[in-house]
Amino acid sequence: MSNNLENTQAQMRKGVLEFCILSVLANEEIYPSDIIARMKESKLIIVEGTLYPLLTRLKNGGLLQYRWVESKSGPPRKYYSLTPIGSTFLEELRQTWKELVQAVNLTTQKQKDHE
Amino acid sequence: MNKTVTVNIGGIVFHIDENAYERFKAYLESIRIHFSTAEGRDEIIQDIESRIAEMFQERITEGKQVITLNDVDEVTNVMGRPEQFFDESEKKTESEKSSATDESTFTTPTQKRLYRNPDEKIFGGVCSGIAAYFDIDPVWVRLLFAFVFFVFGSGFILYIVLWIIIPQAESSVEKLKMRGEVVNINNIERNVQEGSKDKKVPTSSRVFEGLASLVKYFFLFIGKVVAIFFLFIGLVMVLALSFSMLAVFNIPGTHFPEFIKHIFPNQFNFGLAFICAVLLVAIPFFMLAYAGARMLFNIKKTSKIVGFTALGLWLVCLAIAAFLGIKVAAEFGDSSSIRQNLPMNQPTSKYLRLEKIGEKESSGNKYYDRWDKDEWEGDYFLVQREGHIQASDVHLDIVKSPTDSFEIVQILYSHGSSKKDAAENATHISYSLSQIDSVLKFNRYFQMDSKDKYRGQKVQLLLKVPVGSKLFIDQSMKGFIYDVDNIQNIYDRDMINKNWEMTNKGLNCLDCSGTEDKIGEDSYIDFEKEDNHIRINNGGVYISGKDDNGEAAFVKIDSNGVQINSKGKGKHKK
Repeated sequence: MSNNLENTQAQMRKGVLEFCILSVLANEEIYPSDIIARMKESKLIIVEGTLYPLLTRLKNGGLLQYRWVESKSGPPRKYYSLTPIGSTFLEELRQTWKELVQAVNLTTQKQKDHE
Repeated sequence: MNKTVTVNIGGIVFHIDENAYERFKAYLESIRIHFSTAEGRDEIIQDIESRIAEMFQERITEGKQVITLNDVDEVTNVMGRPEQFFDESEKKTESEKSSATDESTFTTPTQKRLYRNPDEKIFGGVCSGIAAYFDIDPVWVRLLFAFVFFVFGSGFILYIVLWIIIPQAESSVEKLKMRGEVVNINNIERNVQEGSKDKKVPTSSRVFEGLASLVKYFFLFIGKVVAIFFLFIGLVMVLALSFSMLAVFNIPGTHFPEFIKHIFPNQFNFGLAFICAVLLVAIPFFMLAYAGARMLFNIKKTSKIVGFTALGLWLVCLAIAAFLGIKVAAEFGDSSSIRQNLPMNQPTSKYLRLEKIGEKESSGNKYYDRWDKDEWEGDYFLVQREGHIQASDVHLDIVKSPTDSFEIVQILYSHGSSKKDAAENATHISYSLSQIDSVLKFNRYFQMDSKDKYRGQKVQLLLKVPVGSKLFIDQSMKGFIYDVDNIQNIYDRDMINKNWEMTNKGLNCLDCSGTEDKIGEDSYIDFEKEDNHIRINNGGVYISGKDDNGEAAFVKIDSNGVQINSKGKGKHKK
């Protein structure tokens, strides 16, 4: 059963992950490991490895762009930022999220009342 | 003290402890496998490597220049193992996503593959590889091979062949596939650790390794020899068959039995059949040459076009040949014969002389003719002449006449698609013989209409001789008389040039006595005719005289056996 729980948790996190990443990127140009740092606080992402494929996919989808920045401690870094399409996309996600939260709250609240 | 390895990660050079390197390599490999089907995987892996390089760089200080096992563990923990990644490796549709369980998405499904096992080998790791495939103890497989080796001797060859064919499991992933284990980071790491621990290859293996490579080179050499042989045989045969094609066009110096042309319903069918027949034989030889050339020059099979074209062409030829074969065979489906009495004048003196007329046809090949001469009458000749076809399948049998007059009967045989057709074909046969009083002249050939096809037509003649009548079979009848019964049981070829009398018991030879050479060829003596002394009495036979060297010699046949004495090559035979 615990396996199933983890499963569901993972699925839930996965769904909002994209939204969160886009949100973090909303106002600034940022380096992937900084995204991780923020997300680790909220326990959304545990390992960095998850991030790279996601960023690549979003970039290929036209939602993100990146810029090479020289680094003193290692290879050049990719700094990611939102594209105009990414901004619109994020706006729509925000809207959907609000509705979803409301809907979820409403449903779970009612359930509680019944109990 | 630790040995270090120099690596390039994301364009930066690192020195890394050997054990740390092994673990890191396994880690990267697991990541590659995890993303192997993902879109933009090169970029993802590059990003990850860059980030790892950065993290390694952070861990290097003035006092610590080398990446340790600890560093690798820390970095891989931060980056995470593929099992911890959210599944981005495969872009799935919503429905698939919902149905897929996490277990299947977090691991790469593996197929068991047959590899040679380099870690547990005696010779080439074939047995332990097979054992790993079937998940049994290698000892059993080795025992089986040893058994097959001693019982059939083929175990050795089989082993060598398998050694060459089966690839060795080089990487960790291949070793996992060899055992059919799931390819994930845990297993890869475990495999790497195990590998570094028991790389103690048995000493016997070291000894045999040199021997093994020698054997391998030996077989490669044998392979080359076989390749050259294939190439040579293939080319020679293709060339020879190409030349045989020329025979159809009657190019001088080539010989082609003409009656084959007359088997087929028309010229087109004949040409088609001929080309098909040649190709049916030539294509396999061509492929043999082709395979030989490929083996010899190590040409990799880039496309299968040649093979498939050849196979296709061959099958088409086979189909056509089968079709024509059936078509022609149907034409031979039935047979029929016509029996007719030929008109004949009774010779005045109850004596007949049998002769044959008609020149032997030239085959168009002087060498063949010289060899053929007159000795080989079995060859069937069917020659297109102006206005008719003439064929040579005519034979004569001599039997006792039930009446007291000579009779001659001809039986015309032919095949055909039906009884009616066969009979029709037989009626087209015409045969003639001429008679001048007591001389009967047989024609070597019979004739057919020029439009007739070869349908196995032949003419069997039956000469009925009344009891008391005499015959002389002329030299020219050689090969013409066939299976003639006689009292002396003499072969047909020895019946010529002799006088015969028909008795109640059958044909009796009148001048056969003493001339028979019943002694084997190796004890044969040619007596000079003038000096012969022949004595035949109750004691046996005694012949004395001079042999072909002019030396005295004798042959004595009595109750002691046969004794032949000739100077120089005296022989005694019991």
